[in-house]
Amino acid sequence: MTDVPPLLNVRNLKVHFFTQAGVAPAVDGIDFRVNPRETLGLVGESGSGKTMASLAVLRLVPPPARIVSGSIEFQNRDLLTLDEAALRDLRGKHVAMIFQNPAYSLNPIFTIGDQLTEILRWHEPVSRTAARDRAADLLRLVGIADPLQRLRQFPHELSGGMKQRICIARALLCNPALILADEPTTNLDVTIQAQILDLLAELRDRLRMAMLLVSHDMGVVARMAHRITVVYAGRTCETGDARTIFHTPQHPYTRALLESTPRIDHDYEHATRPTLRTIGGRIPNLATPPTGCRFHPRCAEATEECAQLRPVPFEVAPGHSVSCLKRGSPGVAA
Amino acid sequence: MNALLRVEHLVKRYPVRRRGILGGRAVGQISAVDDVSFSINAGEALALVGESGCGKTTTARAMLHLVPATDGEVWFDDADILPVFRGTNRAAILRVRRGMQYIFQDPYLSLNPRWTIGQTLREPFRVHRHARQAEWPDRVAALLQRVGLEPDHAWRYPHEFSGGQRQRVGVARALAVEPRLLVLDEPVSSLDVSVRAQILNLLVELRVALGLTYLYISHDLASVRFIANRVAVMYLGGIVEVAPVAVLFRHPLHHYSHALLSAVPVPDPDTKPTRVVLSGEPPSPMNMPSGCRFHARCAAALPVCKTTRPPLIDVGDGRLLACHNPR
Amino acid sequence: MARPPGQFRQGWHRLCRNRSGLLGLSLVAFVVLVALIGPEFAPYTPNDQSAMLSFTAKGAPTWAHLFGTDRNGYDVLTRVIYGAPTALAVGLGAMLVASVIGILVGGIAGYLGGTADELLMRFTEFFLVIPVFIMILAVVRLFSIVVVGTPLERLPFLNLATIIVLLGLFGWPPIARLARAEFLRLKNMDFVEAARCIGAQPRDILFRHILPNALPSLVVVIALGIGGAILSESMISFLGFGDPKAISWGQLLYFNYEVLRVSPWAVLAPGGAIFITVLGFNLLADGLSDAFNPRLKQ
Repeated sequence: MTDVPPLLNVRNLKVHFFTQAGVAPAVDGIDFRVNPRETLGLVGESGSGKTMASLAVLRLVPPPARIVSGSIEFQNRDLLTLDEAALRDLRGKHVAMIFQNPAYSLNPIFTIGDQLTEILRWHEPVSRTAARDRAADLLRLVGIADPLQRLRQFPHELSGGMKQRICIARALLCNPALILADEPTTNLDVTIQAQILDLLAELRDRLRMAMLLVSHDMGVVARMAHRITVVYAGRTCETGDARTIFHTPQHPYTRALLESTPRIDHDYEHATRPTLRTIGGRIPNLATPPTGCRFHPRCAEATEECAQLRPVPFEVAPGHSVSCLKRGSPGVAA
Repeated sequence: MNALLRVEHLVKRYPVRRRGILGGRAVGQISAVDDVSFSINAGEALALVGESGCGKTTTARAMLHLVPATDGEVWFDDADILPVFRGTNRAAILRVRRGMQYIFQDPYLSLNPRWTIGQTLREPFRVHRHARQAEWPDRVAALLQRVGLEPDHAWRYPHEFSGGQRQRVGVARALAVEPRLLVLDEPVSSLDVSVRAQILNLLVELRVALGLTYLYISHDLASVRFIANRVAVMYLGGIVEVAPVAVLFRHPLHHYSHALLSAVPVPDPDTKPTRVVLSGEPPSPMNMPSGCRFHARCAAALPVCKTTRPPLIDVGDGRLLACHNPR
Repeated sequence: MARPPGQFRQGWHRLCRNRSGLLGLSLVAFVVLVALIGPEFAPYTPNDQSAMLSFTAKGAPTWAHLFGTDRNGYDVLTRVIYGAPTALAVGLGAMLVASVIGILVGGIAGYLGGTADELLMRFTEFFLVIPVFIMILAVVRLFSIVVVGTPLERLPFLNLATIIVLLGLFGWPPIARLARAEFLRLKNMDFVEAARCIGAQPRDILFRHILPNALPSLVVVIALGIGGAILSESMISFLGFGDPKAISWGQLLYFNYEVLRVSPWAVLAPGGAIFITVLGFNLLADGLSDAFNPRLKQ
């Protein structure tokens, strides 16, 4: 796995918010890579920068945020230096995105058919009927019965699960090599979420696509990801394959996150007063983040140097790296 | 077995109107809650679970008369309370309100943005007058400390607090009237993962320490497993199964319960559960199927399921089930 | 244990950082200042027509008459100064009437919903369709005819009061519509449900929960309305339907538009006063809107 060049390689990405109140470093040096045909789970809570990082790949970062520095390489091309025309060619065709809320990511005033065929005809020289047929094929692929009927409908006539299937179909239209999925099932009911996740897993295996899956739900990530990168307050904490992260996490934040999540397969009934392990404190304000390691105010193992030095990713085992001074990471001043 | 709360044959229907010049005429109706009955014993936590549109929130709101019920009875401490709410005896209404309180889901909307925390917490005292005005500042300070906040937070406004802290204020407000039953409507769904555990722990601790009774509404089954003693599963306006929590999670009898539980992704990449994937989607509430509401998506549907709605019956072991062909 | 700034203080800070809002506030403050203490400092009395006697009527600005003199020999600067309290009385008075009616109608419609809502909104739409300006002219004319010979005639500024009330009576629909939208939005909010759950009564909910939260949006529309009312009164006076005993900028225009070419200052000065006053209220409304509902700026 380490010999194959990564499909997407993001290094030291920084995205900052520039507001009247000051500059907030939403993404402050995140690294992650997605190998071909592999799914990387980017896990974090709100304020971790995971959504901004995924938007940065396609340079969709909304003002007042801006990509400040770092490198984003896709198929060995530096995406940060592409001009507008090359970017437009890239988006939808080589790298596609599935957004969090299907209700908002479909244009309400156009039919499904119009929206899908427009994308196809933008990227490829096909006739309207050929585009419509391809769109119908894709709807069938994502498990929508009666696709021609659906193509004539408007988004508001469809349920949430149906809309998200259409968004997945939209992402697949031009056979992209990489899919960016930002919390694709968060707004869906549990049984629908299971259907959509199964669909995504089946499609990515069948079409041999790589996927960057952004999520805060450890269960979803466990189901879908081969490798996982955990982020907190704009920085990477830990990267490794899924089994390592879940069974032998090294970073205190990863451990605390896993231990503080209630589990459906645990027996809480025997305690008169069951207690979950908690992480004290709260997620830091991005405008005034903690010095040194961002997690140190909430970390049980933190010492004085954790407040002064910023930990740098350190490989504790092949393919498993951690950013923690207590786990062997070197620190840099900041 | 003293049931603190008994809900009997609760119904809530919404008319569907076609707009006209002056109001429009009714063209159909949606049964958000369709003959729901359950009871909660004093000191226990009953969870009401289901997906969107199943009616769990409407049931809870109808119980507290935040939404007027179309039909049915709610017995709290052996008193029929819906007629009290509909009546005009303000003292009686206030007495009932003191018994049951509601914790809302969204911490960003459940506090008046123009009131300080202190004002929000004094309001229950102002309405109920169960403490002398001179005592209010002390009572407010005590409430804040009880939920893990500082007394001088009373001066601040909601927007200065995080979601988790606001949710604590919501709990404090509910506790101000010294209720016996708390309805918790998805109290942690809007919060970050690392904060959820704090609030869940607080809720469990309060229930044990204050002897409260909970009706816990959620679609997050993991938190249900943590907090609840018994679970009632709802689908499209009706209860399909009720069981003690461990029993339900280990061996659900209703096919929907089983599908629901197996759909929850477990944070362990090695678990490969036998997932029951439900075909299709829930039917439109305007076009309710005849017979069992779930038969169209059920793999074990029998001919009788299409024609007759199965009643919710006691199947022993403290379980209730509404199914013609259980697992 | 210092009390951190509340919502209004924060809004104030945001307003101060918004340049156009600040400009609006300054203009309004200036006009208010002139209205309050201007008459003390006016060089002449408003009815002083001595310029006629010295044949310097319709004169260009001189050191004796900073804005010149008008057709009737009045000092323009003095008249403009005395026009300020009239303008503000009209603006604030009309909007007071409009606000009370508008918030009542809109608030009840939004809160009760159903048939009450439908009826009240049809009533509001009826008022929106009426050609307001013509109605006001007609009523003012009718009223002044009817009043002649009755004891009412001797009331000071009756005509002006009539105009103020009429502007209010026809200016409430936009406020009602906004109030209805706000009450509708707010009545279903969780914190209102929570208040009901605690046991609060409808009047508590309306006055202590909903109205304070609706005020920021309403204040914006009211500020705009003040500017609009001042403009309307100017138009009414310009057409000659204004109160002859009340000094107003529109009235100055009415007296002097025929001599525009000879003494343009007599028209430019009141025109400019109207302009900066209405502009001030409009900019203030804009600034308030941004202050209470801040948008993310680039």
